Amino acid sequence: MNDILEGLLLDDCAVVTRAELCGSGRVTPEELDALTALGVLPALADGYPAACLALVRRAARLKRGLDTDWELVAVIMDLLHEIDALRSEVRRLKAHQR
Amino acid sequence: MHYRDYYRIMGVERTASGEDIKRAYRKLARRYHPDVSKEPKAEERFKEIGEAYEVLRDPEKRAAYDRLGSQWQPDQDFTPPPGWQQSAHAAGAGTHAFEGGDFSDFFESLFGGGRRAATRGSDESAHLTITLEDAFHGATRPLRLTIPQHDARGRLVPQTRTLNVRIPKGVQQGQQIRLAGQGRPGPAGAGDLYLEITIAPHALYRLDGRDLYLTAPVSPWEAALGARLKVPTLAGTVELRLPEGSQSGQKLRLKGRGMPGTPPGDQYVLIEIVNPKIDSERARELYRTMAHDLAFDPRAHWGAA
Repeated sequence: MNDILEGLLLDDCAVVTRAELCGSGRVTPEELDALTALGVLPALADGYPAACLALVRRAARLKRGLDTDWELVAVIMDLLHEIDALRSEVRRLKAHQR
Repeated sequence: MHYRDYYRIMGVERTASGEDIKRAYRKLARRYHPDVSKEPKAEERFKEIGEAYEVLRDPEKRAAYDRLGSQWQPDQDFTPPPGWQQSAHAAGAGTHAFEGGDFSDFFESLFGGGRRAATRGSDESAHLTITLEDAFHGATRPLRLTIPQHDARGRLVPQTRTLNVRIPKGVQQGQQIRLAGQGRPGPAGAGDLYLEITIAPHALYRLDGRDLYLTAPVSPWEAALGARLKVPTLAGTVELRLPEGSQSGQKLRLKGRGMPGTPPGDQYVLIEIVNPKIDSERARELYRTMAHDLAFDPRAHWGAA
């Protein structure tokens, strides 16, 4: 229990396989293809940036939770991405005002 | 174990149609989905709604749930009626959607835990707030987690455990770390644990991506004549040459002294000229001398006002 756990940092440096993306993201290969076709994921044969795992997880959560289709998930993902970017910009500006 | 009133959770009548239930679910999901919601306790509420929908959307499960009768009060102590196990668990097969093992013990007592036979346990997520120093140097930090686990009798009980987690050097605000197999246990292995990193605000430095900003207060003569400043960085103190004629608001870059990464960030030193207090006649005299001897109008660019 006292072992030190080393995790996988989900950034653009680490790489995950397509199989890992499906397994950890809990989506089928077909669903992964749908997300790629909609531009949520980059079109790669294999070897995805680990940051994609966070995207797939979020997409799958939205799909299941809102009981909707991938097209709508893609729109929501774009908007959430935009909101994240604006929030971090606000945080950045606030930090510089201090 | 407590009774859960799924109709009440969904805000529908016991006579609601399948369509009514779907509509109610979608409305609630939009409001409480943890990825889009700002409501407090959205995640908890969303799980509750998901569980209610899982039962009410499925005619077999709904019929089985309805057979319990309508005399129950929310949160009333509950034990499944005798003979329940054999009759109702069959309705548990072939369900959708939510990550395995995420439901209450009430749900599991009615419909069983092994809804999808060979599934991994659910993934869990947690927030971890670290200091800027930890993010810069990397660190190992204990993390206390409460994750429901099945006890010897198959009941869900909350268990607290402590994990020692390595924080990688250069981790950024909002990034996630996946700890494989540290989520909830399941028949086909445990789920994963996802940690979302928050870097706490720092007394000296402001963080912007991988760059750090530090304000350096300097005296008017240091700014005017130039100086060598001892400047703190997260890797230790460095000497910075302040050029002659520096002004407030200018920033000097210490290349590569920001957060580690490929490439590493920079540290910016913002110059802020601070005037000394006039606390003696001598100080006042020095200012008067400058006012008299220096032909300086800081508002010259306004033109003749």
